[in-house]
Amino acid sequence: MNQPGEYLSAADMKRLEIEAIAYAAPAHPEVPRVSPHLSEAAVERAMTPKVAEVPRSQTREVIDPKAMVEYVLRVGSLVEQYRQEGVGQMRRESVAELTKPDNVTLAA
Amino acid sequence: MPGLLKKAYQLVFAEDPVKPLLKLSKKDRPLKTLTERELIQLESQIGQAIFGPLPPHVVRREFFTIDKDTWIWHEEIKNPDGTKDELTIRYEVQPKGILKVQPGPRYTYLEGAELENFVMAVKEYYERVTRGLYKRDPRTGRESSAS
Repeated sequence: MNQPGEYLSAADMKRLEIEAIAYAAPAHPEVPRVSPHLSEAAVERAMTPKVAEVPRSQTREVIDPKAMVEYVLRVGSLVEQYRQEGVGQMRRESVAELTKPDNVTLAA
Repeated sequence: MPGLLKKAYQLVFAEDPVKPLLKLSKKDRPLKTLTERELIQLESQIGQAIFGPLPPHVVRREFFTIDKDTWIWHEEIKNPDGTKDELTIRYEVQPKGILKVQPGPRYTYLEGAELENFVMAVKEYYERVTRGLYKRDPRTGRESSAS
């Protein structure tokens, strides 16, 4: 399990940079496989402004905020599309089954 | 169908109502249509799991997207005196950036580490919801063959 101080290392930042570029172009975002543990640790405090393990100067060098915004918009559009297509679909599983931990955990 | 009726009969009239329930297979359950509201609720359950187990003082957490431009973070916190506080943050995706709207209201654009972490959370949300709920490959958008 990654410790909080380990997340968003230089390698992570580089990966984010690559992803941000990739996200801007294709029809569907390229989402490389990442360790769920790493991701969970990385996003654990995503909603709080106190996280600052990565120097901001470094952040500005490798991350393009515009690409990030485009990515968030693209993800939102895709989820909205899948949701609309999912409305009214017949599913045998119950709501509880669909949200079982086994069903929502990423494959390794 | 007769098998299903028999199981239903056993379920209703059984002395031990749990035993026949265990015999029910997925095929016996009726198909269910999902509404947009239910899908958002499912997405939110997946979304809140991104952030790990709830701390003891957090009684409820939601994280979901309403539409392509709007993300919601909601938390209910139980105070030591038993009272509850609620916090809802809305994130609006705008051409200029991600606008964070907090109670008050207070408006700030995400930047730096907070922006990166928000994007990471969105990325996880997309991957988990697409794969786990909509049974699609997050990379291609195509429906998974396993579903």
